[in-house]
Amino acid sequence: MDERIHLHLEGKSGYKILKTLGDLTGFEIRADLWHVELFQAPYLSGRSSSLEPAQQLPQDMIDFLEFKLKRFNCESVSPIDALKQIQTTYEAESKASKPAPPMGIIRYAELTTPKDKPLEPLPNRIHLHLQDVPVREALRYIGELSNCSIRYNHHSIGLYHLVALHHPKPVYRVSMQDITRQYGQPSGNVDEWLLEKFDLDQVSVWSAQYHKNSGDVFIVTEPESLHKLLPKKTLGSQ
Amino acid sequence: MHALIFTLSILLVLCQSKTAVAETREINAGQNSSHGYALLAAEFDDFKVSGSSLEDAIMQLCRKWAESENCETPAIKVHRYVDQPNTDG
Repeated sequence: MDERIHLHLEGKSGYKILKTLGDLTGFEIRADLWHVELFQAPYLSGRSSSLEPAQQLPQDMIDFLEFKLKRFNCESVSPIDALKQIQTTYEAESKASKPAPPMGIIRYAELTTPKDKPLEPLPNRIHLHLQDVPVREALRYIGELSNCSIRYNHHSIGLYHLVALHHPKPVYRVSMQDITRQYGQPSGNVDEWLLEKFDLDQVSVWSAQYHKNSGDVFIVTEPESLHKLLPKKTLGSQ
Repeated sequence: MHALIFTLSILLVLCQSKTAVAETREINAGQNSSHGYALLAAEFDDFKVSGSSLEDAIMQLCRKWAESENCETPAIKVHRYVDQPNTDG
């Protein structure tokens, strides 16, 4: 799945921005003689919020997470704006020499979402009124209210919208005959043809794969989307 | 001996089931790549992305910098693992 990033940084260097983008999505920055490059790391080095912040985290990060916010109020703001508000509240109250670490939200695009199409912001609106609560707790509330899992990275904090990953969709086996009855004969690469034929603005499809030997097409989608793709009368089997 | 065979079997299965391949996406290919170093030290007053892929976010950063410096956008490479395309179809 492709990750989609929601991030707002002010007064940062290009390195810090690239570092944060990489940190949130599991990429490390390297540079050869000619290029700045980002390499995908085989694992995310961060820690889940269900664990206590460990000694491995930089002291700045631990100080930030343990800092008690005297008062934190937000009313009907988006999750990314709630994060921004935590940063500004922390920086105003703590008078710390170091700014709050960068924080961003990562969503995951469906497999069939075009790569250049931005994902809409999370629809949730956050209402929070807290007093004398550590930043870590406030972050946890924002995570829960926006259906996100929090991960502390070394230089940033990410809220990962994992609902899609944890709520798998059904896999349907559809005969190619049923598809051609609805959409005509395929041409070229069948998998690409299928996605061209499906109206992806109207339906949510994670995957459509053709298996040549059996003549089956495996479609990963919600039941209501399948019925829009293939009205019931044309379905031979599921 | 059994443990060795079991371990080798697991390794064989893991090797066979690997479907991801490394892919390099070059952002602003053909542009002046050495500008990438200058980009690292540049200061950005305000950088905001909303629902963008990593590549698009980097592209946005490059464009913002090139506009402020009035020069070419820097070339940056992104190496990621992607699923192998289906060859059955």
